[in-house]
Parts: sequence; structure tokens; C-alpha cells
Amino acid sequence: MTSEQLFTTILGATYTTTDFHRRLSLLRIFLEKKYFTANGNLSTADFVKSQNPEQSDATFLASLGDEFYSAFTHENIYKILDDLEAELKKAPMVILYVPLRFPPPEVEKIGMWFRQNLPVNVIVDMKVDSAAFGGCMFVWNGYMSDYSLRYLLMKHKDEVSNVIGKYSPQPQATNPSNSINSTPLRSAVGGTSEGQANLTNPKNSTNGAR
Amino acid sequence: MFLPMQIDYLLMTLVALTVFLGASQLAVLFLFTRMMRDLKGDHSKNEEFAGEAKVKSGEILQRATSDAAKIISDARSSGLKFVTDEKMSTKEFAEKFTQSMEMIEESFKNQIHESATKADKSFESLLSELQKTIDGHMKQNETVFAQKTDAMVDKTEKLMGAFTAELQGKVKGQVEAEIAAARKEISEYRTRRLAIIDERIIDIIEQVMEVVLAKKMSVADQSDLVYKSLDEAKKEHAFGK
Repeated sequence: MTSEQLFTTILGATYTTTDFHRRLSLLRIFLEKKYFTANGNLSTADFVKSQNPEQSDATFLASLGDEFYSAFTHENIYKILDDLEAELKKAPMVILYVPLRFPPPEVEKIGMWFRQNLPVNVIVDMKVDSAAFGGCMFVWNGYMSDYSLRYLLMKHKDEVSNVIGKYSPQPQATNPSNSINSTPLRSAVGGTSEGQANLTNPKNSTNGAR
Repeated sequence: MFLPMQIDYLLMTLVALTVFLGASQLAVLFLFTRMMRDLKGDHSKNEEFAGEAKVKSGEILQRATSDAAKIISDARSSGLKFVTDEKMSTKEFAEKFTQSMEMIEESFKNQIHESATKADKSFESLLSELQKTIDGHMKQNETVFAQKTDAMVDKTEKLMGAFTAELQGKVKGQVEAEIAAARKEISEYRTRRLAIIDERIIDIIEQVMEVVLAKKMSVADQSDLVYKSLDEAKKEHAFGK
């Protein structure tokens, strides 16, 4: 199997960059133990027992199959691992901002949504940002889209203003400069950023950049 | 015939009478002058009446002087006639002279008394007229003063009324301007505040809902919101490009 095929195999059950790096690290440990220790017949089941990883990671190691592991030899382990890292950088990536850190089952569901609705090898770089409360924000192809609660409120700002205006002694006319844009907030962002919630505040994004 | 000694006595008597008459006239003139000066001090406007009194007193004195001179002249003529006739004896002359002098004295006294009475009456009349004139002037002055005072009071009232009205108008205008400025400032402040609230209402609601709902919503609920927002993004072709 080529590096691309190996990468596609990994992405079959891996949806986020965090999971990819963690599982690739786990795979590196497994291969090193298998090929560079006396225990050359180490199975994934034995490795899982000894390492006690998360259930999803144990399932992932077991799901790769013999064909996947046969691609690795004593000589090409690190090269293939480096190639897999390189493949990750080439893969289409969506940066997803969510309001809280979801548990693995929820992360898997969200990842599956992207896998079903976007290109197959798309991978999610999930970050936590409280500004995404009530929905999410994401960056795709260099454009940021805001589908958080803020977007919903902006979308229904007229109704909100009317409700508030009922309790105002002198209802003020809506400032034309604050006209509501029914389209979600989008802004161009340059590249992807590493680290958690390291994106420019979406509240300050400009509308209709797309 | 008269003896030289008798003639000297007669002349001395005449001279004494003349001096007495002059002294009396001077006394009257002095009294009258002092009274006029007092009147002058009371009121400066009575100078014309004092002048009139002075003229009248002068006329009375002149008439008295003239009468005295006439009496003296008559006595002198009688004495001379008596001497000239040289028919009277010394005793008779003395008696007649004494009688004549008594008559002269009596006449002189009468003249003096009459002159004093006339002067007194004239002075009383003058005082009465002066009093009337002063009363008239005072009444007139009071009337004029009252009229001027009333006019001044009316004018002052009008001026004060106009000044008060003008001041009231200015104060009213200034107060109204201040109130209008304050109302405008309040209105602008309210407009600004409402505009700020209107601009930030979404932020406020978002933060409030985030604070309230974040503690109420489960992970699954928030995960559902993520799915729904992703579905909506897909519908709006947010992933189309």
C-alpha cells in the first residue's frame, strides 16, 4: 500500500487532526515495539492491553487490518510515518469552532457529518471558542462562516428589535448602518492556525466577504 | 426881650428835641431792619415783600421826619416870632415856651405814637400779607410737590413695570432656552443610548443567553445545535466553494 492509501485508511475512522496525531503517535509506538524490540509477533490486542488507550483508539488499531500493517517494514517505518504527516498537511481541512470540548462520541458524529457532506479525505481541526455558542463557526477554503447564536440573532434582528421596542418609551428608528444581513458572517482568513481558540474573534468579522 | 441866656436855653432845648427825634427814628429804623432781616432768614422768596415793607417804613419815617421838621420849624418860627415881637416877658416867654415845648412834646409824642402805631399796623399788615403769601406759596408748593411726586411715582411705576416686564421676559427667555437645551441634550442622550443599545443588543442577548443556557444545555443539546448549524450552512452552500 502506498502512503496515500495508508492515509486514506487511517482517515476512514479518523475525523479530526487531534485524533489523527494521537493515533499516529500510538501507531508509531506499536510499530517500534513490534519491529525494534524482541517481541516481533506483538499483536494489536496485546498492545492495547499493555498501553490501555481510549476505546476508540483501540478499536481504530484493530480496524486497520493486516494489509495495513504489512506495508510497514523495519526499514520504512519512519519514512511512512513522515509521509502520513505530509499527507495530512495536503488533505482538505476545515477548521471548526465549537463552544465546548465534546466527548469522543460527539466528535466522531460531527466528523462523520463532514465526511458525508464534504470531500472524503476532509479532516476537521476542531477548536473550542465560546463565541460559537448556540451553533458553530468554521473556516473552509480560507473563508470563515459564523453559524453561532450570534448569527441567528443577527438574522432575526428585526424581530428582536421589535420585541425590545415594545418596552421602549420612544421606539427609535433602526440605524441604517446596522442593517441586518441575512447571510451568515463570513470573512477571509489567512491559512490555519495551530492551538486552541486561536482565531481572530469572529464577532469582529466583516460580513459578506465571500 | 430875650436874654442871651434864655436864647441859649431855647436853642439847647430845640437841639435836644431834634436829637431825641433822630434817635427815635433810628430806633424805629433799627427795629424794622432787624425784623426784615429775620423775615429774610425765614424765606428767601420774601425779599420782595421785605423791600415793600422797607419802602413803606421809609415812607412812614420820612413822613414822621418831615412832620418833626415841620414842628421844629414851626416852633422855631414861633420862637423867633415870639422873640421878634419882644413883647412877651421872660416869664411869659418861659411859660409860653414851656407850654409850646409841652405842646411840641405832646405833638411829637403823638406823632411818634401815631407813627409807631402806623408802623406797627403796617408791619402787622405786612406780616399778615406775608403770612398769607407764605401760606399761599406753601400750599402752591405742596400742590406742585404733590403733583411732581405723583408724576414721579407714576413714572417710576411705569419704569419699574417696564423694567420688571423686560427682566421677566429676559429671564423667561433664558429659562426657556435652558430648558430647551436641556431637553435637547436629554433627547440626544437618550437617542445615543438607544442607538448604543440597539447596536449592542445582539451582543447583550448573546452574552445573556450564553451565560444562562450554557449551564442548562446538555452536551448532546449543544451537539445538536452544531449539527443544525452545519445543515443550515450546507443549505446555504457555505461549503460549495
